[in-house]
Amino acid sequence: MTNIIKTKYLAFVGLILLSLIYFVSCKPKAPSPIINPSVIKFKVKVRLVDVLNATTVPAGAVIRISGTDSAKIFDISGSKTITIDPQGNATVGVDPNYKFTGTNVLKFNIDATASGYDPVSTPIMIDSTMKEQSVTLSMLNTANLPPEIVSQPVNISIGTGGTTTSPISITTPTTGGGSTGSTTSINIPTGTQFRDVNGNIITGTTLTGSVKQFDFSQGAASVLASIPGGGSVQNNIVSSDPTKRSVVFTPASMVSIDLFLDGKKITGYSNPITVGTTFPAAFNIATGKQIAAGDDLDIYMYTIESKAWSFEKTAQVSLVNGGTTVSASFNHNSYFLFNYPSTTTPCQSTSSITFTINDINKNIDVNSSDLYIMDIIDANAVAGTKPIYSQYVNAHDGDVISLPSYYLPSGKNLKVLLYDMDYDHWDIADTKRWISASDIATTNTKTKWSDIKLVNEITTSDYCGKSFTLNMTVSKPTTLWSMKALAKCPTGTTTFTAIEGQSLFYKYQGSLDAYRLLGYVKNGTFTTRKGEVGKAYSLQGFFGNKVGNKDNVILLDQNTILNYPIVNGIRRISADTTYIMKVGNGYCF
Amino acid sequence: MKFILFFIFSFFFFSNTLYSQINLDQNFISKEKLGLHVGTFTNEIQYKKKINNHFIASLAFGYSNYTLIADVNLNNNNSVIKLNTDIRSFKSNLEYIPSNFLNLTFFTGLSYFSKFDLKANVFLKDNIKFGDIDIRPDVAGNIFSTIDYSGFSPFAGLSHHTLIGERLSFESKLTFNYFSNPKVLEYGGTNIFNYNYQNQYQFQDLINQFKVLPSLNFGLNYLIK
Repeated sequence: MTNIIKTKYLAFVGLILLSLIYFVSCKPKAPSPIINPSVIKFKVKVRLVDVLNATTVPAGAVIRISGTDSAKIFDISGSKTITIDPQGNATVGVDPNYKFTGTNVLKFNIDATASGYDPVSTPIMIDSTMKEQSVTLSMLNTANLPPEIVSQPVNISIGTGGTTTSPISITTPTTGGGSTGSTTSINIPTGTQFRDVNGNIITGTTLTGSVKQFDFSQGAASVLASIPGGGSVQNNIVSSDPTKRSVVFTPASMVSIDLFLDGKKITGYSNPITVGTTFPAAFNIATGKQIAAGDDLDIYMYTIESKAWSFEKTAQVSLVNGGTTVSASFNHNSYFLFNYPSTTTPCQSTSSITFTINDINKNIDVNSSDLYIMDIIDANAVAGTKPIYSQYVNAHDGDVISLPSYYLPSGKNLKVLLYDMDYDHWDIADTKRWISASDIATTNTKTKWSDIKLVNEITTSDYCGKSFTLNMTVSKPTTLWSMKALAKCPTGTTTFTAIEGQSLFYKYQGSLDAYRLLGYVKNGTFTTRKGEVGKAYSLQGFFGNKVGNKDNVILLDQNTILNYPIVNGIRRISADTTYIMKVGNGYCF
Repeated sequence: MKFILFFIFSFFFFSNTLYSQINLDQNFISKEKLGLHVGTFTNEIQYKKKINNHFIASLAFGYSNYTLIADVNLNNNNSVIKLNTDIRSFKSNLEYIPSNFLNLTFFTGLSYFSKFDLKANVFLKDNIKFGDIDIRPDVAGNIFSTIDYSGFSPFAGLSHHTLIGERLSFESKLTFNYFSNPKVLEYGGTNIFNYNYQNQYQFQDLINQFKVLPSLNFGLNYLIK
């Protein structure tokens, strides 16, 4: 009896096992996971351009991150190496593991170097409200300077021993080629020795390098963009005087001294050197009058090594032969900025703009990828003045854009302008957008910015710490062009969606045009109204250091388009255009 | 990974469809009985009526709300699956006892699930690499799904009983269940997995392949009166 029970029980267990084997042998085909690499939520889009030519990308440029919180900053692809695309764009962002708490602000520098260009560095601040910023780094080609900047090459023998045996005087040419320009002289006294970055005395026989003079009298965009450390709005100036720590520069003049002794960089001197700069007389914001002898200017110093501005001293203005001159002594090399004392400080509060755009709903991806250019200018500035800040905006109804308060002056009435983009008018760094109307008339009709469509503008009262609404009326398109941007692992089945906010570039198929920015990926897809029916395009996108191209994307002819049904008043075409790039194992989960 | 995941998922799921009955030794059974079953995942209260020496009819109300956590592999990443069920069921059952000494019972019946939600969440256990960034599991997010099995479900199977005391027995049971229309209510993910909602239809197709599924369960039966 017991054996029979055991046999039956074994049969029962066997049945169970057979059932499980059956179940296992079914081999269900579960869906492969889709990975969205948009883990970096706080981003800074960087654009590298030549000061003189906004469409020229400095060849061989390299971007590095430095500063307090640099360890938390990565390329958008997750790499520590920052990738610059051929259009000069890079995107960096905050480590997704980092959580903002309270009013925490991350601070770091974006540094760019390129052969033949002066290095540039701009400080970046990110708080919990600033998910996306745009910054343009304008690099100065030392062999092709704008007229507002002059450079005096130095090649002087000082004899043996590394100590000057007679006074050395270096004088720059006058900017602008006329008497109204600016110039600077520096004098190194007899018996001066030279120091390296560590403060050690260095020896040599030949002094080389250059002294540059920057002329702000015409308010040229190129020279304003050349203020190191991010431009005229500075938030982290080193000073014992709290009123000098956050300042919007209103410069009278700026000088940079970059010298070497037998190729060794000089950062300091055993005896003070004298820097005397002469510049055109102008309105002194501190006195409310034309600058006069006896007025004080604030002198700020920017040290390349520390990438920081510091307040040095004040100096009195004197009038020499009709020119306005300031002299001061220093025992180091640097950028020296002579500033009209200003009470204008950067805004320290969060400000925002809410878009009201009935015809661009972010949830149904109408126009969802299309970009606009947002310029912020001083409401009282004369026409043609360069905006204080510009960025691309991917705007939808209800979107809230945080204004870059840290980079804007407080107490100002600002004008916010929103421009539509098209094939010929797309570049945020193109200075033609803000040149005067008369200059526009003489420029090439194809590229002039007078053609760009101003969608709307608002003028704020003192904007700092306030929220504004910007209404846009945009005609709802009848035809949209949409596609998916995907990346795939070389092996395996994992599919990556495009990074949210990733840039997609386009140009006419076969043209010699540079790729233009078409827009940003939104909701995992790309939808735009900018394609022309019957045209063929080349597309280009980037994933870290991987480039994806798709050529000969033809927007269908009108008759074919008509075969696509209209849904909610919109005819969507090429919906299955898939834009694929292969990614390396480093990104394949 | 998908294989192990689905195995665990199914084992747990069908364990909840255990329909135990008070099928103690025949000598113990009178005409009508009320019993309580506490199983690995299912709790039931049952009413039984003996038809003759070979057939027993029963009605039962079952309740289940359990969570199971197990390790799985998600695309070569160590992960954890958390499964949760919330079940309310009514069941009619007919049992056939072929002999009076082998303690084997064959049964068939029909269940009605007034509620049958199965929620699954898959979390990464370890950091994953994104370029040079080690993304923490809580930042990476998870994949989740909710499946609705409510409705009518016929079943059949066999069970084995071991008498422990006068009112207590241990039961092992194999059940084959048929589900005509399981529905994937949601399938998606968070953070880096947030576009997996696009796989919902593919996952529904997968679930549709398993309309007849076996389940194995163990439980204690207690005869109330």
